[in-house]
Amino acid sequence: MAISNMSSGEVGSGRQPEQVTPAVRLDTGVQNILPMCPRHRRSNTTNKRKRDDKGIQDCETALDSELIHDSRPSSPQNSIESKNGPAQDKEPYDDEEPIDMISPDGIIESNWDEVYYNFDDMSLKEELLRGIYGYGFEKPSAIQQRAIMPCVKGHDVIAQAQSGTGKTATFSIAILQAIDTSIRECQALILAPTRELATQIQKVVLALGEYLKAQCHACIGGTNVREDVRKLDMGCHVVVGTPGRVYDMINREVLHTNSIRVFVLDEADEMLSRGFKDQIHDVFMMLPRDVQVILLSATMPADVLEVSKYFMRNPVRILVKRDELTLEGIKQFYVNVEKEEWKLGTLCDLYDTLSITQSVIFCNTRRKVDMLTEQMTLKNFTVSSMHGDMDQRERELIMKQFRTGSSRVLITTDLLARGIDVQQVSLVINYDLPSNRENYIHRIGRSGRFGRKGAAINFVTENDRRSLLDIEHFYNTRIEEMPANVADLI
Amino acid sequence: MDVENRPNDVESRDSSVERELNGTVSNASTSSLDGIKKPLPPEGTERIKKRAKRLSKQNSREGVPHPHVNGITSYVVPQRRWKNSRRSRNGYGRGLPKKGGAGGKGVWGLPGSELLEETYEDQNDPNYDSECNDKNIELKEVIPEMTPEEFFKLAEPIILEYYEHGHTHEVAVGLDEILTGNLRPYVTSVAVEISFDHKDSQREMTSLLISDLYGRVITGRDIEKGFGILLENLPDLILDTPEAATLLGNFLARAVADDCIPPKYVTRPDEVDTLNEHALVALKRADTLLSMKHGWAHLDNVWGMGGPLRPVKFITKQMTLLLKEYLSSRDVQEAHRCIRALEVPHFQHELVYEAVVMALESISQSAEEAICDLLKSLDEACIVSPAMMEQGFQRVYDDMADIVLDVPLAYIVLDRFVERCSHAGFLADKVIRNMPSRGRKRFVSEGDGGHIKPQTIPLRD
Repeated sequence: MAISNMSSGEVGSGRQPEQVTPAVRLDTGVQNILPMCPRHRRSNTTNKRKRDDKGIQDCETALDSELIHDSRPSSPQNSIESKNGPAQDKEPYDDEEPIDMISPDGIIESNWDEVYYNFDDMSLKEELLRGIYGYGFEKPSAIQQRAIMPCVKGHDVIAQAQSGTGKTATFSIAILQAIDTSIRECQALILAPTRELATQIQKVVLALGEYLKAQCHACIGGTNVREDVRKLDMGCHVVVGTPGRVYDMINREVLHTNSIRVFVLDEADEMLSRGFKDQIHDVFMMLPRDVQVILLSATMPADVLEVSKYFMRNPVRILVKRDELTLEGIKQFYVNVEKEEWKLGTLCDLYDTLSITQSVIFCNTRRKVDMLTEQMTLKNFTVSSMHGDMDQRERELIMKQFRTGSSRVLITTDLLARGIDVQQVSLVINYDLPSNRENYIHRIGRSGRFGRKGAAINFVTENDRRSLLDIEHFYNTRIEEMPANVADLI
Repeated sequence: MDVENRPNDVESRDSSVERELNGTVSNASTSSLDGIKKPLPPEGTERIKKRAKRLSKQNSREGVPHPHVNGITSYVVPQRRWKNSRRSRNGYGRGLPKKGGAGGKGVWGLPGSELLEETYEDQNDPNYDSECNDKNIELKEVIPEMTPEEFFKLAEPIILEYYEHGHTHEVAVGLDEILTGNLRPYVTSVAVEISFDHKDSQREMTSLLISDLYGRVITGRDIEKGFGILLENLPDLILDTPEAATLLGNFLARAVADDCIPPKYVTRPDEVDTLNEHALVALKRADTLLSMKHGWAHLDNVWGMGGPLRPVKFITKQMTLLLKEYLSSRDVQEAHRCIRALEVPHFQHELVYEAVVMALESISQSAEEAICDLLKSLDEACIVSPAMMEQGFQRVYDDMADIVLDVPLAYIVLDRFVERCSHAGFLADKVIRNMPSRGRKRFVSEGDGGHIKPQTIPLRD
C-alpha cells in the first residue's frame, strides 16, 4: 500500500490553516520517524546532526528553522520572526537547544514541539474540559502536554511513554474532541491487546465523555456477543476491542467502518507480541483510506516501527523516556519482627511514633487488609482501608479523605491501590513484603519529577530475609535496619 | 365536651367509638386518632396533649377535679386563673411539638416509634400488605444459583489478586465463599481464561494454582470439565488471544504432568468428532509436549524461565545465558525477545552490568562492537530505560577495582568501550563523565587497581 507523503502532508496542514509550521514540519519529519537516530542528544549537536542525516541536507535548513521557534513555543518574538521572514541563516541555531531536551519529565524526543502546560489552553470543547477535570486531572502529564494537540489536529501520531503516564487519557481526549456526538455512528476505533485493557479504556472514555454524552462500547465477546450487536446497532461513537474481536465484528457487519475517522493502536508492542499482527492489518484494510492513525507503545521494537511505517503517513513522533518511578531519595528500612503474629504489635508500637505523618500500610491480600483494619480499630487506632468490593470511585473517595487528612493511616493491597496516586504519602509500611518484586517500586517509588522525599519500613519475618536480600539486589539499593530514632528521619 | 366522658377517654382510646355512638362530640385530636391508627402513646402524654386546648375548653377540663367550682366560677374571669401560668394564651398553643414529640397534631409520634411493630393489623388500611402478613405461607431456605457469568465476575478479583500475592491458599479460601457445586468446573476455565490476558509468569502461576486447588477445592473431574469448556470456547477465545490454542495446549500438558488430569484426556479424548479444529490443535500441542522424551520435567518450564517471582540469582543467570547466546548468534531480535520474556523492567541494570562486564572480559573488538550494538538497540527500542542504563554502567564503574584484578586491561577496554558507546549516542553525559580513569599520576603504580598508595610503605612487624 503506497501512500503519498505529500498528499497526507496537505491533509494535515489543511485541517489547521492558522498553524504556520506543520506542513513544513511534516515534510521534514519523515526522517525522524525512521529508526530513531540517536541524534540531538547532547546540546551541541549541530555537527552531529549533519553527520547522522547525510543525504537530507537540503531539508536541514527547513528543519532547523522550525526548531528554532518551535523549541521556544512561549517566546512570541521568535514565532513572529519566523512568520514574517522565514529566511534565516544557520548561525543562530548553533547554540539553540536541540529538539530533544532533558526536562524534569525525562528525556523527550520529538519532531513536534508545541507544549501545552494546561488543559485550558488546548481549546477543547467545554463539555470535554468538564469531563477532564471531573475525572480528576488537573495538569496534563508530559505525554499529554505534547501529544494531545497533534492528535486533535488530525496528524498521525506515534507516542511512546512508559505505562502509567496517561497515554490512555491522551488519545481518549483527542478522540472525544474529534468526534461529533450528534451523529450516532462509530467514529473512532481503538484496538487494545487484551479484553481487560479494552474495558479499562472504555471506562476512561466514558468518564471523560460524560458531559459530551459520548457512547463507548467495549467488544468483549464470549456470551455477550448478542449484547455487542445490540449496543453497536444503537450506535456508539467509540468502539474498543482486541484486534481479533473487532475484525470479527466487522465481518459480521455489526460494526460499520465507513464513518471511522480515528484509528488508535494502544500498547502496540504488546499487541504484536501477542500475535495480532495479521488481525491489525485486516482491520486496517477495512477502514477508510484517510483515517487518522494514532499508535501508542511503551517500547519501540523493530516490529512496531515496521507497522508504523506501513500504516502511518508522516507521523508526529513523541518519545518520553522517563522512568516512571525511582527509589532515589527514599529511605528504606526493615524491622525484624521475626514472627507473623508479632507484626501487629510492632505496628501499634510504630503508630505512636509515626502518627505525626501520614502513612500507607500495604498487605498482600484483601483478607489481611480487613483483618488488620478490624484489629487496629479494636485497639482504638483510627485507620481507613480499601475493601475489595469498592469500585474505583469509592476508592478515589477514600483516597481523597486520606489526602485531606481525615485519617492518618490507610491500609490497602497492591491491586486495590493500583491507579491511585499513593506516591503523595511520605511513609509506606510494607506489612507484608511484596511477593511480586516488581510491586516493591510501585508501592514505595516516587515519580522522578517530584523528587519527593519519603521513607519505607519493611516488616520482615525470619522467612522473608531471603526475599529482602533479593529485593535489595533487584533494585540495586540499600535497605537498612530501622534505627531507634526513626521518627526524626521521616 | 362532656365532663362525664373524661375518665373514660383517658383510660382507653377505643372507647371513642362508643362515645360517638353515644352522640358525644369528640374533639379534634381524638377524631384524628380515630381515623389513622397510630402507635399507642403512653397514657401520660395523652393528658399533656389536652393542655393546649382553647381557653374555654381548657377551662372546662381544668374544672374536672372541682366540678362544683367550675360550675360557679367559669364565667367570672377566666383569665384570672392564667395569671401566673406559663401556658400559651392564644388558645392554640405556640405550635411547638409536645415534649417527647409524641402524639398530637402535626407530629410524627415518638422518635423511633415507626420501627416498632404495630400491634393491630387493620385489613382495611390502604398500606396493609396482605403478602407479608398472610399467615398461611411457608418459608424455605434456597441458595440462589449463580450463572457462570456471575461466577466469573466474582472470581476475577480473586485471581487478579492471586497474581499479586501468589498464595494459593488465599484463593482457596476466597473460592470457598462463593463456590457452589455445579460451578466447580468453571474454576479452571475462568482461571485459564484470565491468564490468557496476562503474561507467561501469570500463566505459570495459574498452572500452579490449578494443581494446588486440586483436591482442596476442585476434583480431577472438575478440571477435566473445565478444560472441556475451554476447548469448546476456543474459537471465541482465539479472537482475543491469537495464540490461545497453543497456550491451552501448554496448560493441558502441564496439568497432566502435575497429575491433575489423566494422560488419557489428552492422548485419547472421548469426543474427537465433536471438537472444533482449534481444540484439536490444542490437544495435538499437548500431546506433542507429553510425548517428548526425557520425562515430563521440561513441562515445569513450559511457561519459560522468567518472571519477577523467580529468585534474583536465577534471573541473572538467564541474562548471562542470553548475552552469551547473542554474542555467538548476533541476533538482536532474539535477544530482545528473551529480555522481554524475562518481564523484569526494573532489573535491566543487571543486564547492562553483565553486558559491559562481558565486553570487558572478552577483550575483543568484535565482542565490544556486538555488545555496543545490543545496548544501542535496547535503548532505541526503549526496552532499557536511560536510568537503568546509567545504573548498570555506574555499577561497573564501582566494581572496576575488583574487575581489574582478573582483567588487568579492564581500564583500557572500558575507556575504549565507553568511547564507542558515546559515539553510538545512547549514553548520558553523566555516565561518560563519571567514567573512572585509572589514575596515571605518579603516586599510583600500574596494576594495583587504581588504589592510591600510601605515602610510605609500612614496615612489617
